[in-house]
Amino acid sequence: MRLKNKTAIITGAASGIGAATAQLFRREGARVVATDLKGVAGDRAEGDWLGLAQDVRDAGQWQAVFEQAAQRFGRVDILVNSAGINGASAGTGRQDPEHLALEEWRAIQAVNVEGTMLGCQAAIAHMKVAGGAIVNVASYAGTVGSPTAVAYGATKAALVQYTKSVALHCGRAGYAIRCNVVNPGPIRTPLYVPLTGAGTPTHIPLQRIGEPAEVAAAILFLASDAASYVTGTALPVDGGLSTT
Amino acid sequence: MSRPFAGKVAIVTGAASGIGRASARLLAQGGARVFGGDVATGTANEWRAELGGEGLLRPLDVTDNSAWLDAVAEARSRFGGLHILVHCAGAVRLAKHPQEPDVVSETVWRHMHAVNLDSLMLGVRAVIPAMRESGRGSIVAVSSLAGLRGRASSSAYASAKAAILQYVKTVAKQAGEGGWPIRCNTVVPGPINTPMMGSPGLAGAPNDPWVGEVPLRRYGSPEEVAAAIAFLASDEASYITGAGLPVDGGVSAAVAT
Repeated sequence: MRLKNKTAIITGAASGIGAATAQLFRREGARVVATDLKGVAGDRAEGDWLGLAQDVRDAGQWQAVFEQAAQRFGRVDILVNSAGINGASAGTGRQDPEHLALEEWRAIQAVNVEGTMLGCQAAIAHMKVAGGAIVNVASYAGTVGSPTAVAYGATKAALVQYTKSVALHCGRAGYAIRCNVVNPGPIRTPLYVPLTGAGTPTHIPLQRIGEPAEVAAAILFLASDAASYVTGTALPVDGGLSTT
Repeated sequence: MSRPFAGKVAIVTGAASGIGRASARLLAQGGARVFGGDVATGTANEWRAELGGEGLLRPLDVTDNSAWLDAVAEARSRFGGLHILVHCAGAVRLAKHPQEPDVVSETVWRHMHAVNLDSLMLGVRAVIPAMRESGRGSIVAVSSLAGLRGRASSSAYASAKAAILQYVKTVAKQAGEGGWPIRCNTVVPGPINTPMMGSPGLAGAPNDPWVGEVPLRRYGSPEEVAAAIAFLASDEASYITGAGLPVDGGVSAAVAT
């Protein structure tokens, strides 16, 4: 029970990595506030679980989520910014530098970068006295050129950079807030499949795509007190893809 | 307490002190049977007493290939397999041998690479067959912030620690592509309160130059590095290989890499 007596807000919790993280955190004893654009599993509030609908692009909603979390569970110790989009579901087709539509670029930036930025800002305001841990979710796609997912890749690169700045700021300000980011490789989620299909990825050293639970385990480590001297780092969870 | 290492056998080098000692303890308390190796084994009784699990401390010169082969053989025969290697043995300096590039001697250059880098190569080579036979393996090496950035006073040490990061990626690739059930990762500690750093305490000395550049404003403890090592060594890190995980209080977030 590595998160006993901790309260965590997890965005993008209706599916994929966010859902796996919410389940794992719950098993580890955390009180979980699970949010997603259209809510999660009936938006129920029961025991140590609170499901909420949240648009991460909206600063006012961030404030409301922290207020509801604090009202129900006292305070918030952990934020996991897992909400993200890749644009493939927006139906605009080609996401290469030549054809990318400005609206799509902005839409992806708004969720992935601005959503995380607003979340970190709300979290710092809430955690600056008592401390806490923030884990952001970037991507392997942010560490290499991503010519077929150019907006997505650019946002994920931005998140790595932004995470380091948050970590340095909090450390230098004397806040006991750590901030780290995971860089998942290909993971079996609703987000990954539309971009790439489900072929056997022979270019991954471990020769398989990852499971959401495997990313959740890394997020748990970074969010837990076991990582008390880890801040400002980007942890690849990519089956070795970043060694290639 | 949960026992993530139940049924696992681990070799931990540099196990008599610092990060190695903390790692041996954490693995043993998590259920692993631990073969601890070190050049200094004078504290073996105390070591056993505080281990909190099953294990033994043996003399091990990590620069000696036959010593590695003996260690692997003994770990396997005593404990029936081998699943984890945590290679903490290393050295940051050799007395009276400066490492600034204009004066560094071949003696200290070769010594730093032998102890920090060659030892890892020998260890990896020795454990791969045993891990393949055991059906699962996880190797964790220990680099250093010095391996990410230049440091004039530690040129030989920094070179060896940088090479570790690159070498580990290669091991991860070969193992993955070979279909071997072996992962290989590195932790990258910042300033840690260990005997190698002079055991300065977590707060450090007044105006301690290390503490001054750490965003978290303190040294790390050996236990904090051990926690990261244990995570990478465990099955929880099943999709992580070839990675370098800084445990440095945020220093590397301000270092170009």
